Amino acid sequence: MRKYFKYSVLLIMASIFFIGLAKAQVYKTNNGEITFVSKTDFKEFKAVNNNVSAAASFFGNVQFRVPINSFIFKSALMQEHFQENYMESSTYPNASFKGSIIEPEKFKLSSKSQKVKVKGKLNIHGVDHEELVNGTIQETKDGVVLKADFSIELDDYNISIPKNNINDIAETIEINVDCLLISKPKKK
Amino acid sequence: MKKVIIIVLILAVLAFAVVSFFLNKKTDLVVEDPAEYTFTVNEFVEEGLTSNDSLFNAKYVGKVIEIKGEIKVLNKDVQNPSLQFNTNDESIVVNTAFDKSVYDKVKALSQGEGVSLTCICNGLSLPEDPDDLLSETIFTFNRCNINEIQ
Repeated sequence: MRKYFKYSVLLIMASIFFIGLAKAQVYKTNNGEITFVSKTDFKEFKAVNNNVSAAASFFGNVQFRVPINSFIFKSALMQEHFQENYMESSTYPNASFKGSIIEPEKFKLSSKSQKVKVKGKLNIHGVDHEELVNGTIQETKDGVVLKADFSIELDDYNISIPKNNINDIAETIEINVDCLLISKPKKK
Repeated sequence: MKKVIIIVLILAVLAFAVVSFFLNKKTDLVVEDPAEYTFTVNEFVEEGLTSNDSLFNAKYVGKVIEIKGEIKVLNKDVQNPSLQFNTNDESIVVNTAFDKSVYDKVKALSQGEGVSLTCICNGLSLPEDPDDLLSETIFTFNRCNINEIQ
């Protein structure tokens, strides 16, 4: 009876330790890549940002922080317009996303690329909007690879296009996310 | 009358050239301009943490800054090379990104080395909530050029 009790205590302690370890497990990067494309019949703009911070927890929470000024356009003039006129980056310097994996219901990391659905709040231009993002997550020897393709409506984020640029900038922007997250213990 | 037409034509050509220059000017992927400010990493971090973040960003975002410090993390990714500087505080990240054209120079760097970079400052970003997964205060730079290895 005493032996049984001893093993039970050990088992409970081990469970607490492993649950704690799992909770503490966070994958992070500060060099994620986000690309966006605006396509109309007349013009196509593309911008790349390699300064994206991203984190994902063992239990499927996902978070991004995107410095708006880090987007690089081919055209210097377009970059200036994007930062100053459309995104007002001096007032809203970052975009952010906080979400959770909703599909599969019980997400578990795997070395196979898994399709996931992430639901969360995207904040751009100071406006919060709920987005459902389709992506893939794969565990590799270098870390966790997180990829997603989705699109957003500029109107949802109060980003207005001046009338004389209405044919040049799309109302729907395609976004591509590609991040390699590395395991880091979460600070207590 | 002929003179006036010639002057108007010359002015029109000049205006067209100026407008074309600005419309077609490409973004420099690696900073070539001289730095407006020079800091060690810890000086820059200290100024960021003791200032109002909006005022700090208004002063430095988009500016060419020379920043010196010790390499904490090197990311020798061909497409997306970057490095992080050592700071006095573990919860502060100073992250610098390079264009892939600078990859060979980044590849030659080593962790722990002192390095001086000239970059475009993209500002300071504070965590929205201390319990967030992204709980670090982050200073970001991009389009960096390597000046010297110390």
